[in-house]
Amino acid sequence: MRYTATINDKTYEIEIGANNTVTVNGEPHNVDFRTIDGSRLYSLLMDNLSWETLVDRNGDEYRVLIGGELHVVNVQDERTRKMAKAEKTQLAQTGEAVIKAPMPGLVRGVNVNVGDAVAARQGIVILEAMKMENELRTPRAGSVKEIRVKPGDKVEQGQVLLIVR
Amino acid sequence: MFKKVLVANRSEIAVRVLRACRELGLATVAVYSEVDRNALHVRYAEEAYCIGPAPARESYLRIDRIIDVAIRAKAGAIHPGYGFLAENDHFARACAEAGIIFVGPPAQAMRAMGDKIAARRTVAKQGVPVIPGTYEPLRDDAMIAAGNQVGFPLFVKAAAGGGGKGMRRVETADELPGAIARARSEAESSFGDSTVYLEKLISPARHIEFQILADARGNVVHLGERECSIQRRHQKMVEESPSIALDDKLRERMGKAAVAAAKAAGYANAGTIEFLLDKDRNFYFLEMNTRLQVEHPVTELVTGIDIVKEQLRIASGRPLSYQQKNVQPRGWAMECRITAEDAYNGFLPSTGKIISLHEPTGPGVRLESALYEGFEVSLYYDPLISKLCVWGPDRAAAIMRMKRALSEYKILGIATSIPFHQKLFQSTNFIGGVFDTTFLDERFTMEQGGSDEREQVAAIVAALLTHDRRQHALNIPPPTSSTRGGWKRFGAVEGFGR
Repeated sequence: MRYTATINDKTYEIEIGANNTVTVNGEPHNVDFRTIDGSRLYSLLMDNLSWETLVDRNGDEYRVLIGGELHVVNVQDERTRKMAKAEKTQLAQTGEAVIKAPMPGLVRGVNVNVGDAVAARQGIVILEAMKMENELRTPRAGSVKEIRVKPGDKVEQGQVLLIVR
Repeated sequence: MFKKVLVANRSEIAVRVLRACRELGLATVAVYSEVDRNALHVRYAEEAYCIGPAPARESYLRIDRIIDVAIRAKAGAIHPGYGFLAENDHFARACAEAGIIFVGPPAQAMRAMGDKIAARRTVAKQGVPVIPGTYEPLRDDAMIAAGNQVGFPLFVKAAAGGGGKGMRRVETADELPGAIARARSEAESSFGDSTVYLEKLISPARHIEFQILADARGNVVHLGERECSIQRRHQKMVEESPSIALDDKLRERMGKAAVAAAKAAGYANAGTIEFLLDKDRNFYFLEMNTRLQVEHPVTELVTGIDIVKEQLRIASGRPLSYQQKNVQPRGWAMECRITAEDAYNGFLPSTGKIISLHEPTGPGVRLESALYEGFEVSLYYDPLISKLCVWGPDRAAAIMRMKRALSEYKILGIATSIPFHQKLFQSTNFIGGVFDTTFLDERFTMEQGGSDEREQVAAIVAALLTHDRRQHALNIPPPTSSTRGGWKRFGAVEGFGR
């Protein structure tokens, strides 16, 4: 599984593989990661270097304390990265806002009807993809012009789901 | 000697005093507020009595209730610790009237030093240098005139003051009348006494204080100095003994001045003379603290003298068992005040339950603490939760040892000042001894991040935790009727939300 960890403007491409291997920006490492107290204290052995960390999480943001240093890390996986990208590109459009599926999946729900007024960033379609429920939101306020999918539909990446004007 | 001691305090200092009593074979009595029922000092003492609700005014500051308990429990003496009633001469008198020994100075000495203007006069008469300023209570017009003689910038301070209350910094003459008015009203509301005085601003300066021990027969010794310049908004964060700023000659001069100041006040028991030391190595009497100090362990570590036991012996009427020449400090000691404050969030108070605790130990480490797993840190009392002290043969060794001990100390459940201390002990200015009382506020910041290596470790840890969460999420059955997102649902199931 691939993740992107961002600290300030620095990014780490991290791939977590089988057999305790983690590849960081193309460099493989051997890791052994354990929770110590079942809550915030973790031990990481990486290539036999021993690290102890205290971690607080808030959404996708991790506050990691190591030796008195605080590192605030944002983590995106493939799914959250695509979701974020989709919202960004849809936001850039003017006129009609076309809501497309950011990845292949199964429509779990449509929360609006044609003609409904919608607020900016209102959740309108639930798309199950990569075994998670993802809420797709309107890029801006408007009214629902067209709905092209219904619950239970399988959709392809880039398929138009809904149009707001 | 009395046989039973009541400790009129809570938290680490109550435990500290109870330990001394136990080692002296004295029976012990604790008092506690309703929220402190489970506190360590309550369980540590042989007897414990509830004295009221959580707010200190209704419990730890209730003189009447504490005296009642002492009588009921037949305690021969009361030790006030520090804070709460420790410098309250009414309390000292109430003890005397009830026939109970107050472990501290005589009420009149406490009062003489508690009035900062009177204290300035008293010690100045003995030839001890005092910060230039005013020495008598003055009316506003006389004080404004005196301001020009003192020179600016200066401080307006409350005669009954302490802890920065009723204190105003004044840059220019035209600000003085307003500052006097505000300081007076603040002093009136905080201490019930609007008397103020002027004191010239000494800056840059180090805060150097001398520990005093005096018996009831007029014998006074000092136990050397403590360096307390590492302060955040007038609150000490780190103390050490000795100070890198003193040599033997200056130490001897300041020590003699401290002893003279204590003698002038007719002082008995443990006390502290605070000085400011300017960049030209001139020292000035600042004030006397008529109690045990938070930072007393650093003096104990270098002198080998148990100050709390000495307090109890002196209070029972025994003479000092040594003279000045017998006090031979050795090595270097340091203390970090660990507070329940979020160092990476503007030192905001942090409250909550201690869910897990890993305390430092090993050679040369002393931890003064009343924490335990399950303890609830509340907003009712001081944020100080423990004091981590170390001893080393020299300053460099003490610093390395403190860094080692800090890295071992893990308090989970609340945010603490530990990351601040870790950063401070990496600062080249601190390590080099290049600091004064303005250092923390003006030349030290808690910046995020640090080494590239640790940053990468943080990134990997965060990715591993995200991965872990995703793997867990896959095992949760798909949603049925709920339209909530998978993330949120998972949060609710696992209680991940903060």
